[in-house]
Amino acid sequence: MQASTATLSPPMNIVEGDMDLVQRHRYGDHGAFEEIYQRHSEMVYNLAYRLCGDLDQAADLSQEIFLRIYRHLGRFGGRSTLKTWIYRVALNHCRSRLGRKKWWHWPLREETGGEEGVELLDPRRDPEARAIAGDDGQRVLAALQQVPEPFREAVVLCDLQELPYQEIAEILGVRIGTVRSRIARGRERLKDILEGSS
Amino acid sequence: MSGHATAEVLSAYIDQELSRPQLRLVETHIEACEECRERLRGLRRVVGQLHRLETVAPPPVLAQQVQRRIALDGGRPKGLVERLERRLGGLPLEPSVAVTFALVFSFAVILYLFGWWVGDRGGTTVLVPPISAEANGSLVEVDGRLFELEGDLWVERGLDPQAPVRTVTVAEAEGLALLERYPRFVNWLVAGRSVRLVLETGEAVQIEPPPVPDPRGWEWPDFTPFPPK
Repeated sequence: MQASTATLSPPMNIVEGDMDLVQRHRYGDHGAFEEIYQRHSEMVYNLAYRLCGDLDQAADLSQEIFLRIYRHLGRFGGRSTLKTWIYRVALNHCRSRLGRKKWWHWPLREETGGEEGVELLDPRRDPEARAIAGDDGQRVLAALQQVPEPFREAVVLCDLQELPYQEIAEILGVRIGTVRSRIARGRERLKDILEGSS
Repeated sequence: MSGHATAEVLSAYIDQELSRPQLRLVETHIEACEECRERLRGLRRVVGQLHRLETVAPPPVLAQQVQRRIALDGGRPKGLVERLERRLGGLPLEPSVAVTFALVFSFAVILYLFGWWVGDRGGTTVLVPPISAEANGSLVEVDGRLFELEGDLWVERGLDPQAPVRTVTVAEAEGLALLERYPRFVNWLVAGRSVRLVLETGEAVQIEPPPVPDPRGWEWPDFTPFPPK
């Protein structure tokens, strides 16, 4: 009986694994949160970076997002996977912080000892190819910032975080048709911006 | 497929998010339509550029910063919104939801306070003149209702003692009619079965109307929004 349940609904296994971590966190096991951080820090940092376009801000955002995750993790109910939940926490926090930025200045960043985000460029590429890729990347990232927020989020989740439409729909809390429409419009807008700037 | 493929369809085609029949339809159309082929190429270019963006590793110091922040505040929720989020199940509210909630909550508090002050001025001091001896016991008729002066109160006769508490104010037609007909009556409240009519102030004597229990069961602090001069 157990075997058939596992075969029929593999996502449940993921959720159960998530719940183990959450349960350990509830009992005060610090290792559980560290494990969550190890698993998801790159995803959160990259999401923040793609949405705000700045490494320093991405670090600030990630720090705040993980603090929120730590505070709220005990209430995670397992209605979605932990990954989806973390995406939603991160996305909502980015919306909130990036929206506020319009109204008042970004808070001063804590000293990081001079350490910044490190681009994981493919070491097999020669330096010239890496420089071209870096320049092109900056141009694409800058163009992405000009795409309206709902479309940008959908494009980032689809093309950069490489999530399927169904998962994007769960994260954004919209129907799959809306996801499809936002991705298409975001890509078209990005194409117009890039073609206009080249 | 009639006409051209929409951007949505082309985009979903790139992501292989179309059903098998849709996929076949789009492939057939693209083979025949140069315009859609060109649009597809454009979208593919953009997707390719996005896919070429490098993944960024979080700075190593980030983990320490998170640990430090957790150690500093013990992971307790900060502020009203975060506390509310926690109560609502842990998922942080979207900014629009949080702002809407804050506005609705503030509006509700204002309405509540305003309603409490306007609706039952239990602790408000009312100024009345001394009642002359000859006036005591006299009757007045207002719109077919009979009121008798008892002390400093005009009490309506014939009301059911079990009737629910009712408040009449000058904002209502009934109260306004009373005021127009008897301009010397400035204030009235209903407590239990009696309608309270208070004579307009001249030579002032202060009385405290009996406290009206708040139907919402709240204990309000002793607070007079506009104390008498």
